[in-house]
Amino acid sequence: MNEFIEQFLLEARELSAQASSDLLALERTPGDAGLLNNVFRAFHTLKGAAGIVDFAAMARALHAVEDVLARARAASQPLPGEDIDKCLASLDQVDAWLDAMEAIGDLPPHADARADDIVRLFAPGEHVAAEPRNASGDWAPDFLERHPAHARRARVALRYRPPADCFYRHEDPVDWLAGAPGLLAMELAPAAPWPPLARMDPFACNVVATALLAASPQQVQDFVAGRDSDVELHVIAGPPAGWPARAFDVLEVQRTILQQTAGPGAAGRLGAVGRVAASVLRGAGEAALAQAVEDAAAASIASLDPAPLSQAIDQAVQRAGAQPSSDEAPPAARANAPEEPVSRTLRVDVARIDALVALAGEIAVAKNALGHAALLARDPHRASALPAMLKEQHASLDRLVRDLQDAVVSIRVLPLRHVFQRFPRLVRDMAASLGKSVRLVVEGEATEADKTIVEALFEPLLHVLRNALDHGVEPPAERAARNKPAQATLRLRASRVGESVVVEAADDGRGLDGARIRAAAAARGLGSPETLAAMPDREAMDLIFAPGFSTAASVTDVSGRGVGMDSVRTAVERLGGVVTLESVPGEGTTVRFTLPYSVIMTRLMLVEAHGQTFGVPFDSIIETVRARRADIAPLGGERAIVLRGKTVPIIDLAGLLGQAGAPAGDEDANLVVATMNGQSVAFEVERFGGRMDLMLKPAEGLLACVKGVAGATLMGDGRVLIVLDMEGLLA
Amino acid sequence: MTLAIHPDRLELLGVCGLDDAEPLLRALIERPGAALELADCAFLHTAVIQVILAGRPRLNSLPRNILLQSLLPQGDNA
Repeated sequence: MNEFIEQFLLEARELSAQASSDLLALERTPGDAGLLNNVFRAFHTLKGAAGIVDFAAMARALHAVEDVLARARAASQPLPGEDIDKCLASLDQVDAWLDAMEAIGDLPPHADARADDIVRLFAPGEHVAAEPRNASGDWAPDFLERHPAHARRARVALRYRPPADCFYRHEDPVDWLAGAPGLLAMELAPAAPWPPLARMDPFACNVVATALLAASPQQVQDFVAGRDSDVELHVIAGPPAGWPARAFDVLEVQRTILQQTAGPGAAGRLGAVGRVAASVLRGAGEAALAQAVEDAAAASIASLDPAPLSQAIDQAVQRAGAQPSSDEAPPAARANAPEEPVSRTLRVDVARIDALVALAGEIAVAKNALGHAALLARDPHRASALPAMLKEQHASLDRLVRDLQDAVVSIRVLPLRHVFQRFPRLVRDMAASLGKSVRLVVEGEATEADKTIVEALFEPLLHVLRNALDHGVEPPAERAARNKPAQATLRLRASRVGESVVVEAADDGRGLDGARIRAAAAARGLGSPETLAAMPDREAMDLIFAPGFSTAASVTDVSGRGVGMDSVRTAVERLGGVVTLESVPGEGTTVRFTLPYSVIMTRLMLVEAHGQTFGVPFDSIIETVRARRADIAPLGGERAIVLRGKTVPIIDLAGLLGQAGAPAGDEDANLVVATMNGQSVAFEVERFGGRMDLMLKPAEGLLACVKGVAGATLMGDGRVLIVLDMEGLLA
Repeated sequence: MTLAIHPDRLELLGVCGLDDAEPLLRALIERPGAALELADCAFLHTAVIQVILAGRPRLNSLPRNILLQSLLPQGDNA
């Protein structure tokens, strides 16, 4: 995605969230002129931002909203409730557009029809003006088509309509555009048809200039600053959506390499190019194209002729370029793509950057001290001081690196406000659709957590709140009968507890009914009536997280779409957290997520298998056991051991990793016991090693295609340590 | 003065600014069919360019500046 749109998305999301929360506040205090002003300003700025990225449809829709707000503001009258609804509806559309833009990296399709809907919403009687729609960037594709030679390099198309009187202001539009960054081509056309010469006013500017630029949208935006209202920019789309940004570049490089494959080592180079290209394609979710490239590579290697491989790569690039959402890509590969677009930009407090800068300075000092130690080592008379000095410097470097890690981690943290701020609106709408009156109280939204966690929390929290509203909160009549206030209260609370972040969603509804849960669980075959009856209430309530469990008597609009609370538990566990539940009949239910503060630092246990060291994340290990061979029993074709009364299958790690490592003779077996989907599995390793803290980044590029690998890091002696993903290994 | 009026043709010379637009327009009106010589013209103001675009005189030669060349009508008059 280009930075132009990236910046726009960042700002537009903030503005939309701001407008939404101000609208909700305005709904509670309808006469508040300050709030109305804020709402107006947010819409106005949003409209301006849409104009900058050439999103005419959005600007048009927001203009209609702005008109209504401006009228209310001018008349100093409260905004009617129905207009608040309409404003919120238009923000929904804006959010949908932003999501689409984030996904495809360009203006969303069919935006004009949606914009018409919004304009009609605010002015039902008025005819929707069709004129501005023609201005919505339609000129750009034609223009680009007239300049095919520049199509590859052009990043931005620009159209400039100078005001007719610009010559009087000493402006020369052509001269100005000639200085545009990365100018590839320019065209001039009359703004109005040329008059006969006799009636022409030579001092009235009557040209429209269009230009193709190879500069980044940001550079162009800087260049046109001050002429914004007369300039339209159209950002030219990059590679197909869904492909990793670098995929094209990598394939391009492979093609270049293929041009130089003659001579010794040709077969090796062909093989390497084929493997890289296939892996890139597979990583991009194009399994069919990857296979084609692999086949072509085999043909090329056999004949030592790069042509088949080169053609296959060309075809892959063209095919994907021509139809970004190719139907030929297998759905399974597509499913690997992240479902929700993840924001790629981060706003960081300057103080945190300053802390990093200070640390960088200290690390430079430590580096100099090491240089001094290196000099000492050369001097035989003073070398005896070396060990103590090195030890001291290691200690100080250790502290600095730890500080650096903390500082970097803290850059990635976001306040939970980012996710919490979306709920007031959603809760309001859900409550309205259920005919319930609910107040949402948000506490601790300044609590911080890692960006990954904050962003992934929305779905599970939404699910919990939906459930609370739908099943927890009683209808008004029932609440009245129970002497409860008619308005129910939902609490969304976050707090930092040690290295964990606790997020709670609590309602003051009817609470969970142990008997009903047991009945439902029995009906769905989650346990025999006897086992269920013997279960303590706490454990029975936990059953709502079991897959396939749902107590809703009827499928409502709000929840009960066949996805149960099990999806909540899965989502939270994926983040390394746990979900617990407390419920008091008649008083309410609290669902608590306990999540790690940061996902970056991973504690690893080192193990050896077939002479190679691997890292295993601590959080997937239950225990390590040294077992006597005699205690290991054959079980079917496999081996198993009884641990604490449970039979646990044993898997040889080296064998699993494709190394032929027969378990050693009669020494004790070293077992790492992990749990996978509730089932314990013991991995036999040759040796247990030490522990290690590590910044584990998700594997990317070629490593990402290898199942069972969570990532890799370098060890002190320069060896690469592969970190295993135990669940992935068995998948 | 960067507009030279010859009996059979008009010629723009050097840097042609906004001030040259009106004389050029008048010359084109007074001498319909006159050709225009641009080979020695280094710069054209937008106002001058738009007179050329509107009047579409025959262009005997083009400026050396490639950008200016690309903005002027070509082919049908050359």
